[in-house]
Amino acid sequence: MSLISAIDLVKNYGTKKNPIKALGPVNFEIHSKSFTLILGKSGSGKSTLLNLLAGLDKSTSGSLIVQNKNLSTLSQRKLSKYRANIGIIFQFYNLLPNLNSIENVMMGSWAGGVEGTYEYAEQLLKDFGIDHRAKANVKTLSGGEKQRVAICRALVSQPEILFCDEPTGALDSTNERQVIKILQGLSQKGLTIIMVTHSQEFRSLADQIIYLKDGLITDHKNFNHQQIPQEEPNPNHPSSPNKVHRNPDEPLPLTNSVANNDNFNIDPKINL
Amino acid sequence: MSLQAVLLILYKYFKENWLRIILASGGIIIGVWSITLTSFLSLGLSEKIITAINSQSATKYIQVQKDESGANSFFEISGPPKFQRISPNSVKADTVNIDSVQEVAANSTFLSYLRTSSNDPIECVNNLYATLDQPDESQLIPGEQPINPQTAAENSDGCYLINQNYGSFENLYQANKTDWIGQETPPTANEVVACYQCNPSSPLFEELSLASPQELLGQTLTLEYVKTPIHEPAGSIFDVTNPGITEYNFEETQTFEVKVAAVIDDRDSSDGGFAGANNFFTSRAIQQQASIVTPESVDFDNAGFIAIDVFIDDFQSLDSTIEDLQDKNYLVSSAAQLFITAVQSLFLVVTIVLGLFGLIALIASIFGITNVMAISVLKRQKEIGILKALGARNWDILKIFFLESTLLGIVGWIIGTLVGYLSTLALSVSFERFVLSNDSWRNNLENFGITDFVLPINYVIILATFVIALIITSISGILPAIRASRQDPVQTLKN
Repeated sequence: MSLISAIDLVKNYGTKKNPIKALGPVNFEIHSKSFTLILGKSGSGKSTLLNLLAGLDKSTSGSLIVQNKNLSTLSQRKLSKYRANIGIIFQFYNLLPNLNSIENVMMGSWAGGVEGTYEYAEQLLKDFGIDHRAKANVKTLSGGEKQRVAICRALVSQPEILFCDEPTGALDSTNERQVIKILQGLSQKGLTIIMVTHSQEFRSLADQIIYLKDGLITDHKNFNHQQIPQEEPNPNHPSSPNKVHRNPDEPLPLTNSVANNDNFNIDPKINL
Repeated sequence: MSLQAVLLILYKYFKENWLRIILASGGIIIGVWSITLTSFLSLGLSEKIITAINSQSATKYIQVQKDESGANSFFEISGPPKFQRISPNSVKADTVNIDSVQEVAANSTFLSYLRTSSNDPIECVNNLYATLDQPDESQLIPGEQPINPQTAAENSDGCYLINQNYGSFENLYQANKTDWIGQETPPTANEVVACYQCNPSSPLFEELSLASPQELLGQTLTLEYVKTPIHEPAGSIFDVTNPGITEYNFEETQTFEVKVAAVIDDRDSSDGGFAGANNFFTSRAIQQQASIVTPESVDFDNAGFIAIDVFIDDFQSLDSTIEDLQDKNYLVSSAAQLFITAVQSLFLVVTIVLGLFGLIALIASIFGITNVMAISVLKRQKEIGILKALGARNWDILKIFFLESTLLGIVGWIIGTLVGYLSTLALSVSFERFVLSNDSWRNNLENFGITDFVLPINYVIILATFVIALIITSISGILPAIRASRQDPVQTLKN
């Protein structure tokens, strides 16, 4: 069973009389624990699609089923709750400028009222090699550091899905490689990642690539489509009764797309 | 959104923008400061004045009368009043259930005179008023008519009204220091302070053949206390338009030998000083002793008087006692109440008028704060978008901005109240430094029970300004907060 299903999904802007078609109709499925790439040039509708998938916007017509919920028909309140239980990373980080690093990370759980502990946030910062900048105001961080804080923020609520909107678009090559490694590691740990990008460099990481042009899917490639066993939903999970409680230490079968044999390792002393 | 998130966002916002917040709450600060200062000052001044009034025994004194019509208010009487003479006993009977009434006494029971005699006895020109018996018309000096003893006292030779009450010796001395001759301590029971030429129309000192005030000093005078009762039958009517002629009986006198311990030389009235038109200032001992003289043949308790004095136990009972007396159809006069009511009304009006200015400043601040909050929402659109992307609901965003607006009001209220309080403190200190440091002023004020100018803190005013500030900032902040909550996260994240 797929985690995400889009059925005749359409998004128009403008008025009903003079609609501006931005996306659709599109149809696709995304499986759990997969790494999905949405590729397309500027104006192809990929950001529009990501906004719909992340619950930031609502479709004009069609259905978008995520975790057995039709996002197209959810109320604003329930969409907020959905957003609280996913992770999202932006091209330009979108950190809260008045807060320091760890406060920004904690906001990833506090904003949506999701349970998240300070210790877990500290651990995330440590895992991504920026615990030494935990108390620093985010205005003083470099681009790479900011994006790592953003990744920690996205993960603090232990989401099942991580949405990435051009996560390396504002980074130099060194930091870009670091972020790629991070996302690769997260994918290996079983996190479902959906990334929007115009860069072809991520193709080797993806289980599935959706090509968009002028709002329509022009190509759809599954590289390693296999039936990945779905864990039963854990009803005791505090954040969502439908959320799968994931054991991050449980190894998953590596696919050909994840051909990089390097172990996931972040050098804490990144030369920025 | 969790409470921690809300508090963190508010704390960070205030930490980063504290100066802007203080400036934005300027209207609140000015309004609260104005209301606090004017209210404390008005209420404090009113309280001090009432304290001063209350320090005088006259505040415990009420005068009651009865009009023929039975009205209990002078405003209800059409035309000149016709007073029904009432007896002390009847008033006592009517006030037996009024706990605050301590004593009832006939008003103007006696007219009291002192006439002097020294080595050369001085007699009143009209012996009518100094002797015990009322002579018939054949004994009058040709051209002379029986006249009101009150007027007689001002015109006749040798008969002088006793000064009833000049407050304290210290007041008299301080007010006439430059004219003072002789003993500078209060007169004993056998001494008097005389005033040379305080009453220019009085021939007293001509009759004593004194060349200067110094000659009066140390003289022994014989003062004859003459008391004449004034009474009419109870129930009879006194028409103010036709008072008629009252006949008096001079029944008893008392004689006192007193030594002139000090003299006030008031020949030069241009040098200030104030001793009134009184010739003698006696100790209360003489007055009290003289007052014991009571003609036994007159039943004062059942005689009729135009007015009866009612003395109450405490100034605080004044209003309730007046009400109780009016319920019994008495016309009630209390100079203290009139004065206090006037003072309180005046200060209430002043407080309201000045407070209105503060209120206007507060209301005007609505526009300023709304503008500030609207700009804040505009500037923080991205922050709103981020929070929404992280799962914050519309209600959470509304809550944050609404709380920011009310916190503006709280900050303004705190600063305004502090500044208001410090202003009143400055006034108190200035008063003590510039007024109470002057001996004369301090003594005068102490006589009226005023020893400081500490303005009391009125917590009702403080609470009221807090509520007003909250209401105003809530009104100011609600629209921008609603606007913030409705921001589209997609659009705001693009900014």
